[in-house]
Amino acid sequence: MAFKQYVLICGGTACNSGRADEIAEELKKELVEAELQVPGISKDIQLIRTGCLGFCEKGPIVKVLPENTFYVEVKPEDAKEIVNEHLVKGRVIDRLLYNHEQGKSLTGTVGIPFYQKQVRVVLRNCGFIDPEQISDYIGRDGYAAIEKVLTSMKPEDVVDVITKSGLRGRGGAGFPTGLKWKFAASQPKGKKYMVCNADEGDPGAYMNRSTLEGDPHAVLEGMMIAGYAIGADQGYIYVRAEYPLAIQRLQVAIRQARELGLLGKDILGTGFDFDIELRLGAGAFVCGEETALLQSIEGERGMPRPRPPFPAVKGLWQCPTVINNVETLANIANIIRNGWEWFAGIGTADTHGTKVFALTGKVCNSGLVEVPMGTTLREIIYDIGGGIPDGHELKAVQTGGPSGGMIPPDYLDTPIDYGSLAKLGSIMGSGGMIVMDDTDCIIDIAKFYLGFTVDESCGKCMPCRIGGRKLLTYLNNISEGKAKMGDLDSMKKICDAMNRASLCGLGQTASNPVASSMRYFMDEYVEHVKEKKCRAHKCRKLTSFSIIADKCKGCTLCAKNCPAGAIIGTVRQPHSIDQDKCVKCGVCFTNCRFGAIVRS
Amino acid sequence: MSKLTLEELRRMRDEHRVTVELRDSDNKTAQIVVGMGTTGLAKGAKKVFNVLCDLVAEKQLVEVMVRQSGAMGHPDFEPTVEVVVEGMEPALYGHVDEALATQILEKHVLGRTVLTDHLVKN
Repeated sequence: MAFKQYVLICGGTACNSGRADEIAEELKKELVEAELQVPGISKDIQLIRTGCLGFCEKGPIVKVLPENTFYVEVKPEDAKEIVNEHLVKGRVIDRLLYNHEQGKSLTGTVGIPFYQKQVRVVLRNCGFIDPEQISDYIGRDGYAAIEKVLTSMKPEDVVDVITKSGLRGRGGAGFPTGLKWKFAASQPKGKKYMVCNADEGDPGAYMNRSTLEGDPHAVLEGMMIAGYAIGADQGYIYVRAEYPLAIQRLQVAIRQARELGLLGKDILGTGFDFDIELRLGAGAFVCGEETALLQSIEGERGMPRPRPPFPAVKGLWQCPTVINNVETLANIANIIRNGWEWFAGIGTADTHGTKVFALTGKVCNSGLVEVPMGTTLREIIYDIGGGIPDGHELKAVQTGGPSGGMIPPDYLDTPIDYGSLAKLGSIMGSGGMIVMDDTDCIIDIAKFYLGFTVDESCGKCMPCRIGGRKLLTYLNNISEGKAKMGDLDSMKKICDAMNRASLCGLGQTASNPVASSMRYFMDEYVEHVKEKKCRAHKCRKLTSFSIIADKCKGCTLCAKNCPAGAIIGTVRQPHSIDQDKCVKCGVCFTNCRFGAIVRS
Repeated sequence: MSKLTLEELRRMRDEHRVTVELRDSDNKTAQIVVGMGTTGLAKGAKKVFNVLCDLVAEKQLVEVMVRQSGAMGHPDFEPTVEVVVEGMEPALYGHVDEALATQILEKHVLGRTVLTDHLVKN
């Protein structure tokens, strides 16, 4: 049963919040209406809710195949025109194309700079298949890797291939995946577990979410191959409860795989047993740390355990357990099918393969980006990301989330891999990349991350519990103009102590935002401490607002919106701000249409 | 649904591979564009589009894309069909009906022989 045209509507969480659900509904309705013009049209056209296409800044995205027309910023109201003009009469709707002012591109993504340097292999199915149809996955060589593994490879062969590929954990630490599997495989035969870490707690990171929503079977297949390699018959996917759509897609995928006997006992008649269950997280960032995650699955409070013993030796219920990140697992089937040489041929000597990044912050084209390792920061931010909007200057790029560091513009030509980012004082992390411009305050950003990690600290070990709290206090003081120069030296000592003595990765890396920002932006710290000045005007206590009498038209808009009643003036007369009452909220500054309010 | 054997999985994959490859855009080496100008539509351009789509699906020609476009600027020759095959010059056919469409697919796209008699002449 073939269709004549296919309309793919992005079904990722972001596009859904942009009414992608309604777009799909309206398209369905309009197709039924169009039956009067073209009988049978609603059977000729397949509507597919697909996974994240990555160009999130321009969502909701609607793609028409096979001709590959790429529509951006679509609204439900556009459905009528899409059906009647494009699907019925073949007329592409110019105003919905990317960059329609400058001349359109009919061939989908060829004219779109965002996609030019990307190599979408982990995300190969996202935006093309229906994630709730196992047949779509199978048609794209789905479950061909597990078939190859079960029929022609021994477990040690699988470990060998993954080791040779050079795949390193994509969750942040970058530990060689083949080596982790080898540790577990070499444990004596018995009950073993395969766990997928789908907790993705880094603020702003949604790479794993998009894979789970857009191509869940890739993760299932990766887990099955891992289970075979290490000798496990039971897998768990630990997914955070804040991802309801991902959970739903996983449930559908697991059910469909079980129905076809691709999960369960005697898979494909080869005697291999493997099944997967979901376990939901309850909102604790620390449960993304592997040993805390295992505690959580066991029903205990999520608190890390000392290592050794490592989970590969003694993990879930004291059995050998491998924990891998979603993206790591999504690479496995591709490596088995295409060969380890294919994977090793992408990227740098230090790090093979690709990486999915969530590019966000002060960048024109924010979204999900997959590039070969070795791509430079400059290429990602400027060529793919389109640079900094509104004429601002790049101040820093933050990689690795709360465990990562800030990198100044001097290092934009650094090729991205685990080693080079570590040298700069940052980490790859799970792939969050936040771009900052001159309106961002370094201390403010460091404060945000410390506030997060202090809140999420499990409290078990002193360096993290007390060190983190002290750092946050110092940062608060700096942002309020209450700090002394000696505080900066104390902060350096605390960063070092936390890094060396904390029990788990959360504590060990929580000081990175502070340590890295002090390394590159010390002048901004000193400015805050000595001159009590915040050049980005973000630290409220160091900013004052005043009204330029010449520019003020007396429209009273600021006074009406001031929550502290700090603005005085009569209609059509210049107003003024009472500094004693002002709470520095900035509402007047945002509201003034005459540029009469300034910050200093 | 019953549990798959290896052979059944392979068969399912081959069947669905065609389904997804027909949908794909990156694998196409030939394009057949059917103009949907007002005159053309009145004279059956939609039927031409339909028969081409059905033939491509039936013969599982995953490298051939059939799509519509707006009017092509030759109202006297509508329904018009443009054929672009990799390695050949683009060709524009006029007065295309369902029978000619079938010929175009078989002789030009598959047989790589242009049907010169039916080209739009200026």
